[in-house]
Amino acid sequence: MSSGFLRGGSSGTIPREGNFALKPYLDCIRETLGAALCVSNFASQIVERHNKPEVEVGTSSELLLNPIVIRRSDHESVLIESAVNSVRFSIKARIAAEGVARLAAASPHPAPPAPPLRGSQVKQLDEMDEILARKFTRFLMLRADNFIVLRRKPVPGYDISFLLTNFNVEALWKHKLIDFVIQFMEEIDSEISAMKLAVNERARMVGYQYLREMC
Amino acid sequence: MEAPAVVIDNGTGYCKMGYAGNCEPNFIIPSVIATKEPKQARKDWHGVEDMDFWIGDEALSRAGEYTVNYPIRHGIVENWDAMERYWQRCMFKYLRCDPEEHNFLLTEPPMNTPENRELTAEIMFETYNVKGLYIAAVLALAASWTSKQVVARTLTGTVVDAGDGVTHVIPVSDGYVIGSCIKHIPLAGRDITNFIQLLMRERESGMPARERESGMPADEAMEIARREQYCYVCPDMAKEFKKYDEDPRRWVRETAGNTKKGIAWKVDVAYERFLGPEIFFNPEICNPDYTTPLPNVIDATIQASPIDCRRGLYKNVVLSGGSTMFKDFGRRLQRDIKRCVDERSRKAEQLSNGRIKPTPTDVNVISHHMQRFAVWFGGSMLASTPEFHNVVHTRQQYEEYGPSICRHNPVFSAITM
Amino acid sequence: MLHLEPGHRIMAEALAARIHAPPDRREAVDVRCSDFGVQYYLCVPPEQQNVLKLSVWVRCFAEVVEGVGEAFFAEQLYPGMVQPPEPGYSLTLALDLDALPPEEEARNELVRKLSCVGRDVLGAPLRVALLALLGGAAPPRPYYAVHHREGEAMYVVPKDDVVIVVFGIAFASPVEAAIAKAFLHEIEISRRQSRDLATAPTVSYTHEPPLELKQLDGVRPLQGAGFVGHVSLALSKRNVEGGRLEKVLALVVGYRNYLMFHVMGAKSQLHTRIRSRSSNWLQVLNRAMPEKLDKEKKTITGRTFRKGP
Repeated sequence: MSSGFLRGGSSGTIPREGNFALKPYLDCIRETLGAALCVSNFASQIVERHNKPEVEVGTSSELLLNPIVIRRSDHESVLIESAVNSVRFSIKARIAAEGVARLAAASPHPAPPAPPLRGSQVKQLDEMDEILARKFTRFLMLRADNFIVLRRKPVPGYDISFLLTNFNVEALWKHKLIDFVIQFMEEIDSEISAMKLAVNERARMVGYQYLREMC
Repeated sequence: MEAPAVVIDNGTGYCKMGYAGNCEPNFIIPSVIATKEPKQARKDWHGVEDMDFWIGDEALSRAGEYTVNYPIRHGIVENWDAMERYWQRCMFKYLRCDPEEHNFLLTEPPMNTPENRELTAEIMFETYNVKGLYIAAVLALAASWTSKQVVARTLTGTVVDAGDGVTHVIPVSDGYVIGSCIKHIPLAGRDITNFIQLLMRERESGMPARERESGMPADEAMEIARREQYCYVCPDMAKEFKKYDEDPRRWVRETAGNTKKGIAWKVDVAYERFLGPEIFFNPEICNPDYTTPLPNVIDATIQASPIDCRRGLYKNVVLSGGSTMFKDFGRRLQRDIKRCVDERSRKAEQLSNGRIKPTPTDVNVISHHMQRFAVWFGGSMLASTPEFHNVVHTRQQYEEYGPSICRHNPVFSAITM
Repeated sequence: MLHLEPGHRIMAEALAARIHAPPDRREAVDVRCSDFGVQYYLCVPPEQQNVLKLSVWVRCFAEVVEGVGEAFFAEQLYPGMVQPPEPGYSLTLALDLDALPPEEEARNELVRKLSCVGRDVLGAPLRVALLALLGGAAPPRPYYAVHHREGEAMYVVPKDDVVIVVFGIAFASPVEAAIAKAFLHEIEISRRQSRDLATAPTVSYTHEPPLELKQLDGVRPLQGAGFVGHVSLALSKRNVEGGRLEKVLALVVGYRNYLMFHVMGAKSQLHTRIRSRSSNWLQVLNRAMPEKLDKEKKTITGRTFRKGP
């Protein structure tokens, strides 16, 4: 099953083969990432004995390559920014734009607009997707220390970012590193739908048990 | 009316919890959780199966059908999934608080890592939406202020914390734990119990056999009650033996009871009365591998600490934990530490051929009523002061800065008058 | 544990120790605790050990008293026990420990009753309405409002043959609000779809106030950050007949807490899943780490293994 994390406005009704639908997208990312990860050690041109990921510091435009966006739909895309010694890989799902708006609404100051009357099922489930995805990415980014390649903050406009440097590529198998990123993209999607399902089933069970006591 | 803060002291053996402002914890339950989890099938959970678990004594009594485990090892949380659910029961079943309305004060073991504080904060704020959280380290010192011996409220001192599993000696300077100098002793309440049992089994035939029906053996539970009721610390072991031999009737106590199966038993408690706690002072009598007495460990700890705070550390040795509750424990400890210190001054004087006369060092061991749950009580006391509101990390701060705010918990400055 | 207990453990334990103790072995006590927003203070002063005082503070006490009348507590619920309230509290009950009923059973009943004071105070309007329903009397008032939490309320609307309880529910955190929404949605569905719930009260979940509330004057509409919606439960006579009043009362008054308990339980479960999933990913990432080549390998017999030249 596929959730809104990768699949735009899905209503969560697409069966398990959803991952096959995703395959060309992921294959494309895999190839591009493989090509982008041709990085080599490159010391700073400005500060002696500094060696920083150029894609992050961005001191010189000649060290940066053109960023690539792979877009599956309006809401789903990845951004691959490469430089001479590092690659930044960001994933965007639908939640990014809306999430910001919703966060603003959740803060106490501005009065939030009244939600629509008895929101339709689809709308409601989408909100849950969004919340779960945000919770998930937040949880992961707090543990960025353990996931060596994860960035603590996403690139603006994206949900989660990875930073792959030449040191990572030297220390780890490159193809397995890419496998990890792809597997992450595949699984976070299905995990979020499974979690959503679990919440709903749980909700039904809890409601049932409550009313059962009153029979 | 403002909701009182909730104070939870999660220990390795027991969890003490209650509302601030009370003088003792509302609940003391074993830190045990009994879950029913087919480990592999967790992914397939869709309903409410994960709500089927028990904590505390109720968990121990269900040891057969459920898997029992201790989420805390050596004071440090090891299983966060279990801990999260343990707190859920603490809040909703035992304390019945609405976490959104209460500030929480949690205690941490000495040497807790900042990462663990973050994980704690993450659970407390993300799952339970608590109003505020403070993670405190040096509560035993605060609890000692109730003692009449204490004249100045200071946060400098040496905490001797003897619980059930392990004994820590923790030097604290101005509220900050001197982490590198902490020493641990592998002797605590459980060892006293085992030692007493061993002695009694050798002598008495009427001892009930070990029973394992409710998780905790009946005789062990009985022993806990007994060792504090009958045991005391003697000034001198050899003299004490003599005293018993001369007039056994005056000293020997009789204890009786029924086993779970209803068989009556009766035993005499004799030398055990003073030999039990004696293992702190002469550990070789029970553990051949560990021979450093507690007073020497305390002395060594203080000697290892920075030189400018040593006098303060000697002046304020604070007892905490159930295994320090024996009669005259504090007095004996004070005498023995004093001996170590005086011996050192004497040597210094001798080596300098009398040119240096060290100023005598004050040694004070402080006992008080709240010793048994000193840590919890200290928390209860601090959480009911108005200053607590200034130091607590609020939900708004958490949402703005993330769990890292809980890495540092400022020491209350206003209370150290 | 799916359901919360109706009484408070701390109160029940402290009360039982005092109520069952023989007169010569009484102990003074001074306990404060909370019960989901209600505050308790139990006190037996050391100088007067035969008087037990139990004070409660309830956020919307004035509203409740206005609805059910002062006499309801003093005469019906706690006859002979109501005292002038202690400073800061809403209601104080006093119990003379020398004049307790001698029977064990009656004393247990007293402990049980006093450990549920919070529920009984908040549920007083509902109790009045349900008693009227059971007795076949006309609805005593058009409605009662109990604002038991900030930004939330419980309305009791007695009709001729049913008592409708409407909860206006809000959750401050957007995550909780979303989960709560799913819970409210599903309780409605499970009432409709499960055959064995045919005798349970009808449930409906709407965002706007239900019709019963709209018809009433003076009901302030609930709106605000994190407002989730209205749930209404229609309790009919058969739900409370046959001595089930107490149980239903505890369930209905405790609904908001039950919901919060399970929303937090659901979050715990999500966290458990996230933790296990991220440790899986970590394994995948660690697999990308090449094995150390110079590591010494041992054969099963314990001898060092070397690759041939």
